Amino acid sequence: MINKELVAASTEPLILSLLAGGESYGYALIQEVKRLSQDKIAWTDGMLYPVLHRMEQRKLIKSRWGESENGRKRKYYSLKKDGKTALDRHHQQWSLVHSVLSAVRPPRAIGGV
Amino acid sequence: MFDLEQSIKEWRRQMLAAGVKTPVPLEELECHLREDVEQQAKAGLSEAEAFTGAVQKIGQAQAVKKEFEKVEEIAKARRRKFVDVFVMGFATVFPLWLGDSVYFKTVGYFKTGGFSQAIASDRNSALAAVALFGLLFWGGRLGYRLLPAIRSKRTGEVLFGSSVVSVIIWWVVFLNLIVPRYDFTCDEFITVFLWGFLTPAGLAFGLCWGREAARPPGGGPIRKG
Repeated sequence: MINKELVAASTEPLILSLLAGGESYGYALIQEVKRLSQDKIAWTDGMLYPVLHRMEQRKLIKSRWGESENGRKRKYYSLKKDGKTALDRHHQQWSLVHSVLSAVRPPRAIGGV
Repeated sequence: MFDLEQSIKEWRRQMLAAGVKTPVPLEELECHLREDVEQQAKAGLSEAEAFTGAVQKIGQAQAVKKEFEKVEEIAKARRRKFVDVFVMGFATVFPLWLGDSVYFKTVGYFKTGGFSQAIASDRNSALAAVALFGLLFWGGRLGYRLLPAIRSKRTGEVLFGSSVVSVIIWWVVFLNLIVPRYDFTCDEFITVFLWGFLTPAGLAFGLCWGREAARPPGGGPIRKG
């Protein structure tokens, strides 16, 4: 399992990245992250929503109430312009960290651990 | 027989009892819960099992409430920062404007009205009153934390409250008992008013402002020292 500090640090960039692909809602975001990480990143369902609210306060994303396919109320989130800027910044920072890690420990060393 | 609606109602009651607010975020959490129960039921679980699993995945009510409170605190801190900047602007601009009006007679009433014929000593005195107002206003804001640490919250509150009440009582006495007793010229009245009314106001505003600025973002005891 992934270290929980790393999960916490990656939550915002992951949400921004997922929303860059289009509007979505909390449950779908959690399921998509689980799928993409092959269950290695499992967000606590209840903890996602405070993060979404905080990002909405910081004007990175916006929300609207809509309806699901079966008529149930559902809150959809989408990316704002500031969110796109934040996403680009996150990508730069994470790419930098990844490139430094890769330079320090070549890929074959990682597989052998 | 498992009753999903009844179980969700009970879950809502527990969340509300723990302090998770409605409509936001409780409505959103309930939507998530229902969605998860539906998906788990489609995957083959019974409604009861799906509900238990979904509730566990949402997490304990207290933990959820704490996370939402952190979000609230950030919003409150932002609002307080805005108010602080606004008051800072007022505490800077108002004395400068008033001092300019009183001394240089460049704006408003003072240009053609009562202070236009004031003698130098009255104008200097009025300017000093305005300067003291600004100093007390800013002094309260910047110096609040230098006041001796008062350990007892109650004692601190009483001292603060009595300082503000004293200023209010002074204003009442000044306006109702002192000012009517003397026959001031217009210039004298402005000078006396600035000293008698404005400078204590600077002290009161400075104390209030300093006290609010010293309060931590999430509430709690005032920081001193």
